[in-house]
Amino acid sequence: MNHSVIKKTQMRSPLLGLTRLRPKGENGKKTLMASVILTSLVDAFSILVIYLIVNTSTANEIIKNNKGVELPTAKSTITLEEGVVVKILDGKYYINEEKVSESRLLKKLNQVKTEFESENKKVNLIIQADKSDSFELVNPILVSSAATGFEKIKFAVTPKGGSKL
Amino acid sequence: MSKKDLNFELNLLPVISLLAVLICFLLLTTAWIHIASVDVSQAIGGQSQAETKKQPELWITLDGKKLSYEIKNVSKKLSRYNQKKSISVKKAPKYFKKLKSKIENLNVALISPSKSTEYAHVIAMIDSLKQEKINEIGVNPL
Repeated sequence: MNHSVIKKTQMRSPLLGLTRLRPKGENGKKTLMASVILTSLVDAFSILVIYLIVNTSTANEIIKNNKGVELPTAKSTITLEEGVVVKILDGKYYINEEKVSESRLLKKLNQVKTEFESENKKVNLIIQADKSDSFELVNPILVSSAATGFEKIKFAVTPKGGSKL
Repeated sequence: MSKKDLNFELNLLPVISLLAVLICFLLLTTAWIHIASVDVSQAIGGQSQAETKKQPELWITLDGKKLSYEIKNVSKKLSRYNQKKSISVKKAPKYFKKLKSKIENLNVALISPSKSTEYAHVIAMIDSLKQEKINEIGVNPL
């Protein structure tokens, strides 16, 4: 079994030729073949994988960043929590990605809030609007949310350099 | 009896391939734009005015790029801050810092934007108030 097919066909390892314990090169001589040490590469890859896994933010799952909506920036920000997302895109309102007319905002918010409460979920209202939008567009959401009973309102922003609170 | 070789070598190529695939997948799926939030507390009318504890309040009126502010419920000692003052939005952070240093227990602010005020200016105002540790902020609907 010492002369098995695997043994015959296996590549001569350049690392084994360099080893001090039992060199496997030609009569223990160092081979001229250059070897690439892959251990450091594996280390670097592992660090990169860990960084990418840790860096994956869950906030982006709550909000879909649309091309037409450029969020305002802020320094004193907090992590975005799950909630009812009201988006303003081209002057139209969307509640959890569903288009809603201004007149139906209150009714729809009430309905969504009840659904959230029945699932024992914390109810936050998240407003996602373009930074150049006028307050006139945001106002109906504030009025409807106050009538629905949303106490905390969160404005989605892009964090600007500063530390998160 | 054959002697087992002590100098065995791990085949790292499959590990590298696996990690390379994983890195490609993570690079493609990671969202590089981070989204956070600034929060405000809205009054929903549960408490009567008599029950509410009197504390200094900063009332801000935003009209385009202009801002006027006044402080309510301050002690007589600080009554000079009671008067309404107008400044530009850009100078607001500097004024808020000064106000906070003079009135340490100033924690409540109410922003009243006008129709034409840009949403970004409202957020900038909330942000500069939060930076001065004025955390109980409300936005007044039109």
